[in-house]
Amino acid sequence: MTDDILQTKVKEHFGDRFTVTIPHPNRAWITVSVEELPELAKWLKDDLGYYHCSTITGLDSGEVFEALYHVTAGAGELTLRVAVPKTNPHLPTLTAIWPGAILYERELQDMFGLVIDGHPDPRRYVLPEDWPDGVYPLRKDYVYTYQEAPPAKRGE
Amino acid sequence: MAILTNLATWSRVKSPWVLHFNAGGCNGCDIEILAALMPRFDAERFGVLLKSTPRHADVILATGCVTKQIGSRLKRIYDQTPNPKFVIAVGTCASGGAPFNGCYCNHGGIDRVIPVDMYIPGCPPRPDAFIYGVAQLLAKLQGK
Amino acid sequence: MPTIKVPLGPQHPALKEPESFKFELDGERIVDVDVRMGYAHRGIEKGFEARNFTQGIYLAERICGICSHSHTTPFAQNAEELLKLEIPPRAKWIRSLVGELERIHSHLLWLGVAGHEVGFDSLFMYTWRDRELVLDMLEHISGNRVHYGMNTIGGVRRDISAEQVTKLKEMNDIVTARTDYYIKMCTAEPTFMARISGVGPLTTQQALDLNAVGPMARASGVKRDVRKDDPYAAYGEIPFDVITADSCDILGRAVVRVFELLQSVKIVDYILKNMPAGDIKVKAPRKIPSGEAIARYEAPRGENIHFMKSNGTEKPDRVKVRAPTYANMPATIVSLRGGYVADIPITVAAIDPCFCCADRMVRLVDPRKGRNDLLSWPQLQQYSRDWLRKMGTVPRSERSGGLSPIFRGI
Repeated sequence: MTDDILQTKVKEHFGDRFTVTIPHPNRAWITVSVEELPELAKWLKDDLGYYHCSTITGLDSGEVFEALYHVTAGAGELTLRVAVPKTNPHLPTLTAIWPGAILYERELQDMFGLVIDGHPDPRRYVLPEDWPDGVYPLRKDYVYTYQEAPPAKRGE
Repeated sequence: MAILTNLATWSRVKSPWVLHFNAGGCNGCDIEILAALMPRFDAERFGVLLKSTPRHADVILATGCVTKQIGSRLKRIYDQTPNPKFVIAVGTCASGGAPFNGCYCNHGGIDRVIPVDMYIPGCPPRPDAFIYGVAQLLAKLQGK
Repeated sequence: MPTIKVPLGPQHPALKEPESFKFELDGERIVDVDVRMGYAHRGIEKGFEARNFTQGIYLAERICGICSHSHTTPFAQNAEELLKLEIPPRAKWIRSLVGELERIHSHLLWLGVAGHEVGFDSLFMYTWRDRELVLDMLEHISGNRVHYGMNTIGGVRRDISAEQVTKLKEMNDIVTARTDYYIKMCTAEPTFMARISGVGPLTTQQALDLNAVGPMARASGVKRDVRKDDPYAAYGEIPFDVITADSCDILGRAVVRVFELLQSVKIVDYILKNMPAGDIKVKAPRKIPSGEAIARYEAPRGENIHFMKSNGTEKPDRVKVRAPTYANMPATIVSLRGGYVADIPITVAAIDPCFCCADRMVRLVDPRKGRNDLLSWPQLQQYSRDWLRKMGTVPRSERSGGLSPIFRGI
């Protein structure tokens, strides 16, 4: 799936709804809204053969959270950029389309506090058990200051 | 009784049984510890035996900067090991937590959770450095 | 039919990082598996945002000890893409050389660990002895056996002189001869093959759906290799084959890795003969303009993907790392289901876990008989050997008199 073929096919099927930008060879980007995401994802998987979801990156971009879905059909990497407002950070689950994305969505929940609607298993994944609820480490307002603990004493 | 104590100390020094525990490191030190048991460096000819359970071990070899998730498990392993026990912190992460200083989710070294008897720095320490560190600890024990 | 829940907790006797699995058993068969990761979660992605790019390379190296070059290379590639910097060809070839040497040592490591998990400790000793040769090669050019520190933004830090090239060629010939022995072992040794054939199945459709990467996917017939699909460094100019197998089980994964060993020694030979002369790095400015970049790399375990976002300062705004073992976890869970308890060690080891790993205290709770046994990993391995002996397959280590009791302690 080369970059030109991707651009042509997206234009044929969706007209001007989505634009494919290619800032670098083999790296295509499409910006899509939350409502249109499942439709585009399903079309990419079924019609164009984008079977592999490499990962899902979360970004804290000031006013909004962005989720970047990196998918590939083998050669180039296509990224779908979705923005959600911080006041309502909900995303639909795409595990029906890419079952392998199940762990990436759990990580998004842990790290940013995005809520993935319809996720089959929304438990905590990477953070420790005693991590306080409601604290999301990769948000920009989480600032970690290192407190040096005293060394353990013998006999404890 | 003194004879039995001397016998026990002698056997501990001549053949220390070690437990290896990875407390959230990058695996580099763990590979080098295993490489110390492989044909090129062969720590087993000095009597070092790798055991699987803390109940049988004399020495705990801990690697990795301790992550918050595993801190309580490390403490539990330390409590399960019978006395007299010694802890060797292998690697720079285990000794002081660098290069992960400033990353959340770390305690910053093994000695924040359990008391350590010997530090073997290096990122990762070569198997020879590791065998040298163990030999130093045993020499100290013998001198006791 | 009531099922038994068996946890595998994070303490372990041998190699590998801590991780926790919970198995649900029906007799000897595994019905379901639950994975609890996070024991090695150190908060590295946040740590990148507090360090400048050069310090970031040192942190990226320490994400993993076995495949450290496969994290620094995409990190450096991202930074170079954002700077719109073209690095000299010699630097690309040196990066590929170190990457292939890393792949060789990693696959030999895996072969030894797989041998150990099935009870073939001699293989463990042989492969790790040969692995020392490869580590000598790496130490010769970089100064360290693990965490080589070859990469920097703009190229590589150390050059390879002509004497070093001659020495590397000699050592590479020895490693090539030993690789032939391992290929014979994986394709013609009946007990080793019998132990891993048919175990841990993952069909092609499952591998595609669950987004398996690396040798795990290639052993199920999915012909995907980032070095061929999306070439980076010097791989566009080096001829090699992508190895696949269609047996969809652990034997396939072993065969894929062993033949990839052969391909890698040939690539190292080609690189040493054809490396272009020239500079090894270009000067890179400290501040990187705003932008976003994605880099993919074929680590020994599969596809490694890095995403970087910069904002015009000296420190990155966001770095995302997705290591290959993380992608293989759903596929592992599926390949464990329906298998026997005795096959747990080798099935988990077959994905070549690096960032996460299975662990070694197993509590078998049998509510019907009221038993509550605590088994350690070697006891689990001994259990698996005894069970297989009852089924009529004698493990290798037991055949010709067995190994010295010292080795059983590992």
